[in-house]
Amino acid sequence: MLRAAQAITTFNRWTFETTKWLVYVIAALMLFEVISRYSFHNPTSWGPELATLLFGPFFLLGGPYLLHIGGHVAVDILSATARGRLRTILAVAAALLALIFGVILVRFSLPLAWQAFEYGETSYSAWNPVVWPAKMVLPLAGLLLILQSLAEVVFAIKVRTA
Amino acid sequence: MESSFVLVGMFASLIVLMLSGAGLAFVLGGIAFLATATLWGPSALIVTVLNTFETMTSEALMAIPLYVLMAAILQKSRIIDDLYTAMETWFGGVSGGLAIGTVVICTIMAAMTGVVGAAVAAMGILALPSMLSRGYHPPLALGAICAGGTLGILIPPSVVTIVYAITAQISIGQMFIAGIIPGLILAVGYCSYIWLRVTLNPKLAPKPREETTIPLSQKIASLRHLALPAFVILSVLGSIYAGIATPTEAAAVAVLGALLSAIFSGRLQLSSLNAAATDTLRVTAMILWITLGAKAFISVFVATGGADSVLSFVESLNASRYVVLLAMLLVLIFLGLFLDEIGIILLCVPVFVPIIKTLGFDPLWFGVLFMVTAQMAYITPPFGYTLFYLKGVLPNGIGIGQVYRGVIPFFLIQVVVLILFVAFPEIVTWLPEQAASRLK
Repeated sequence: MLRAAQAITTFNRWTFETTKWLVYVIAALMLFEVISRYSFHNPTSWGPELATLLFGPFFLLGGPYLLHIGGHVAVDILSATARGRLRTILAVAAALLALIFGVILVRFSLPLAWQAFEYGETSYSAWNPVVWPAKMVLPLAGLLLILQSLAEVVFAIKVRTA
Repeated sequence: MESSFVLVGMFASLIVLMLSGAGLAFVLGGIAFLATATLWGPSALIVTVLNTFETMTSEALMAIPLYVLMAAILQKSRIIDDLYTAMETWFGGVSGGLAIGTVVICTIMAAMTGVVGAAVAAMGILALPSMLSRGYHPPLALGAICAGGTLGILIPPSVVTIVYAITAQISIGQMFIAGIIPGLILAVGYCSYIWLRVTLNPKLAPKPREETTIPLSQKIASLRHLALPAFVILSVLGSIYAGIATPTEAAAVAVLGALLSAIFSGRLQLSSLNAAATDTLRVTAMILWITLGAKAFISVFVATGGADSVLSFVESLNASRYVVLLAMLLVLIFLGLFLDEIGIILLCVPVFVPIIKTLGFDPLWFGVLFMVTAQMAYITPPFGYTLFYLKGVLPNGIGIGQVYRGVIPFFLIQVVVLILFVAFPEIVTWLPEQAASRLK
């Protein structure tokens, strides 16, 4: 159990570490657009749109590992002062709430993302790219969140028994 | 099912589940999805997911990672250290000079970064030891760092301001410009207080024992460290003020400026770029995940008519509009005691801004009042964020109690300034109006 939980965490950390570099890509795309528009009066059709398409995956894929490092906004009045059994119960409850959110996210976004893939949905802009790769990231992030919250349950119980 | 019953259920479960310490994003999102399914059936959730897709491709929200990245690059390449050295050369001889200089540096950092933690942590490491070794009264030194650090919320570019502007559906550029004068007034207020206090009681901040006068040439030379940060600030604010770039485009330019600053200072390393990217994703994922949850939650609140019933309730009170305003500000200060600013904005602003508009107030002006209350929340015990940032760097022998005592006068200055802005809204609205009329 603990082995699996650690493997999940490692995978999510790896996802986080890879995804974080996207911000430089986003910045470069926006910068390229600013320069070509204001200096050469030649705006690109794809620059800003590609940047916005990368933005969703960027922050979504960072979320699951953020759960592990406790980086989400939370009210910790109770959980920071709780000790012993109550602390474990709160930690498990918190992880389960994240789990529920992940399940809902996958359940309702997957059909829409799948639809976008099946029909080859495009953005109807001048550049007009297919949008499913960006949309597919939402259920994927939900799945990673589910796995990480299960791992957090394992960690919370292990700390208690250790 | 009765919609008002669902609403009460939503808020009750929000409070209970929040206390588990779970991420607010998941609590808000989970409740919103369940309430949507209960009220309108599972097919209504398609709309909620479509909203989420929209958030994922928001050009305005994309400004957040870019500004955070700029701040992180400047921080990791230790441009702040240079600034602090320059400040010490200039203010070392003035009464309470180091404390005043700390507020000045915080103001400059606020104009560069807009992330509160950065300024407090940096000043805790740089300014605190040097003030204490000079024999400064610890509460004064600590209060200056805490209060100065929170200026980042108000002085543009500020991430909190971006979130407010997007949620209140007003222009980010206008909101940025509106923060400039109020931010400077607060900074001047802090500096005057320190100077006055030390002038009345010089023991609080002893001057250096031997009067070493630094030659003017050396003073001027130290200013070269200011050149690049000044360039970054001016390029960002200038392009927004002149209306040639959107805040997101200006943010991309700012990232370039930060990179150039780091290159010229000779401290650009792959490891700092790596650490900057880590910080950026942490902050961005935190803000955007809670945005997803809060958007879903608020859309249920609006769709069930919850927002309308709050509005008609306020109207039925027949109270003076200033009483209503006071009540709202008190709610904000109270929530600020235990909730992050981003969470407060996403929860309260969609409810409060329609009220503000009905009462005939300006949402831009209310935004500035909100940012001031946010600053109060950041320095108020027991859950002020700056206090926690500072706790990590406190030297032995100085307890958190001295930090608490130190922030009280600065808190009072914030109260006075807040009242000033309420009484004279022109202080806040003048500069944005100038900018808007220039664009026409």
